[in-house]
Amino acid sequence: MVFSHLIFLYAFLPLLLLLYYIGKDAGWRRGILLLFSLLFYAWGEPVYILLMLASALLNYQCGRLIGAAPTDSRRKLAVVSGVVINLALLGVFKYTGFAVETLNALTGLALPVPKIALPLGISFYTFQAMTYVIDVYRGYCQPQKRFSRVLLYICLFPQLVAGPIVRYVDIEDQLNERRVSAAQINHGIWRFAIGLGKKVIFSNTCGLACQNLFASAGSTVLGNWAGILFYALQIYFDFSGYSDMAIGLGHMFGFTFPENFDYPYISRSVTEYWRRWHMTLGSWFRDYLFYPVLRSRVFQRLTRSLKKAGHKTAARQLPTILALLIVWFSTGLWHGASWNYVLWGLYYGVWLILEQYVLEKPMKKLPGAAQAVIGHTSFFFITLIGYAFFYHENNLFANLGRLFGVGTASFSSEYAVSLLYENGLLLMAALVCVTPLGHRLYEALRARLRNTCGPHRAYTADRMIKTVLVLALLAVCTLRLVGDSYNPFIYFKF
Amino acid sequence: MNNNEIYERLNSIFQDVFDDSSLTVNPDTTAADIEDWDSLTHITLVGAVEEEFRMKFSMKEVVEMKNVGEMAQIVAARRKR
Repeated sequence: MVFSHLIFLYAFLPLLLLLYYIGKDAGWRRGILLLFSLLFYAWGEPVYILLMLASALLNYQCGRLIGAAPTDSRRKLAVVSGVVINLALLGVFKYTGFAVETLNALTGLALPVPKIALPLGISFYTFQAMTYVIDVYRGYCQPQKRFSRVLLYICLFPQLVAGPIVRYVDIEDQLNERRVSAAQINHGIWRFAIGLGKKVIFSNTCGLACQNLFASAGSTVLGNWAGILFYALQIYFDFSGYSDMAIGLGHMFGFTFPENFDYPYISRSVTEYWRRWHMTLGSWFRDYLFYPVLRSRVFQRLTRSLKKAGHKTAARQLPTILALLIVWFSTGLWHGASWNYVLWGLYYGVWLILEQYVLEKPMKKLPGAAQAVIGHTSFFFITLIGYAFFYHENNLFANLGRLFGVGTASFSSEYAVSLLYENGLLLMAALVCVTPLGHRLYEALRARLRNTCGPHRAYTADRMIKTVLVLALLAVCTLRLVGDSYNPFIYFKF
Repeated sequence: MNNNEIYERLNSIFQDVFDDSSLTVNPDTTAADIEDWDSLTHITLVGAVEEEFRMKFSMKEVVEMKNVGEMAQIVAARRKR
């Protein structure tokens, strides 16, 4: 099921809220949440739900094994088995076809390529489950005694399918019992409505504009750039909208999930962008891959031997650079079983390394205004080219070439210009909405209200404005959803 | 060795890692106070501290240390030189 589905909005969610809040007992509420989460998943994956149940069971057992292990080496064995099992499940169901295709291409063999459908959300819930076993091993949390809690953690419907990647320790206590205030529920509804608006009003329309531009003006340079620009907007509104909805739904049931986006498109560098975009994935790779790789024996030995040989700078930089390449190769591969995603990841890895070790110092010597102009402009083009890697699963290089006039018929065409004209208003509105401008204006208004009418009236006014906005958003989105069939979430396929 | 000495040695490591000889750290210094303190420099810093004091941080500590004070406490409890 999808959040931006009329059945979800008008049947699933209201029914769940009703049943959930009818009972005051914490056990009842956990049970209802678990039941509806399983229903939510089974709606789209009636068979693969068994895989998710198996994954939860394996991770639960693994946590218990780590907790009960008498020695450090046993604990290590248990956690390594847990990680291997998780990666193996992900590997089999996500990467088998890709691996066989690559093998065929490399060796000239013609092995049959198995067609395994990707289980919904497997990349997300596998990564979540891994935080559980690894954090039990690292001593962040106790192994959970009850299977139903681990299952609830894995299958909790708001963030099950497309993040944010919530770590077990983030919600360990909340899994047992939660206190929900009316203010939190209100805030949750507000966040959900914002996310729904991002998805239905902006993402779906930007997606259509992108499709049309590539289909009708794909032979022009302008059409390619504009197409990728609309794709960049679509994916931001799609994915951050999904995260907003997940976080909002969490609030409605008393959960606090980590934030996932912080206005990524106002970044001045790739480094900054990756601190603002899909933050829970970035910090996952930092804590569970980057740090462990750099602190592994192999890497420490490399550092030591470089230092012994007198290469001081290399000793400091080379291991980090190698670890970064490993992380970004993995980040790319995580997104999809296809080489374009791997190249996309490495593209960003190389930029991050360049920024860290080459570009940072000369940039800092420039005056502030120049830093801002160069930073924002270069980021704009670097990101759009990055999205071209991401968008074109097939014929990547031919499509990249078209951005630079290789293989295009002309720079522009009447059709490209008229399409841009048609979508000009959408483009401008979307560009304003990727910045914190709206948020800042509203906060300024609220501060002014507080100063002039006092905190109580300001609070009432805030509630009234938000209620009207929520209802308006819901009405607009419903109207659009009734007549619109173009409604996919991009990150569902990862 | 007293706390002051640990801070002196930590300070020179920070100056070295962040390439800034005017940098001074105190127990309350956090990543937010030093502009370049991100995940890359953090792990370099941890490595340099471990080497200087001949000790190891656990993975949990690497991720969780919130300020220089916490780092110094762990160092004081575990250092071998």
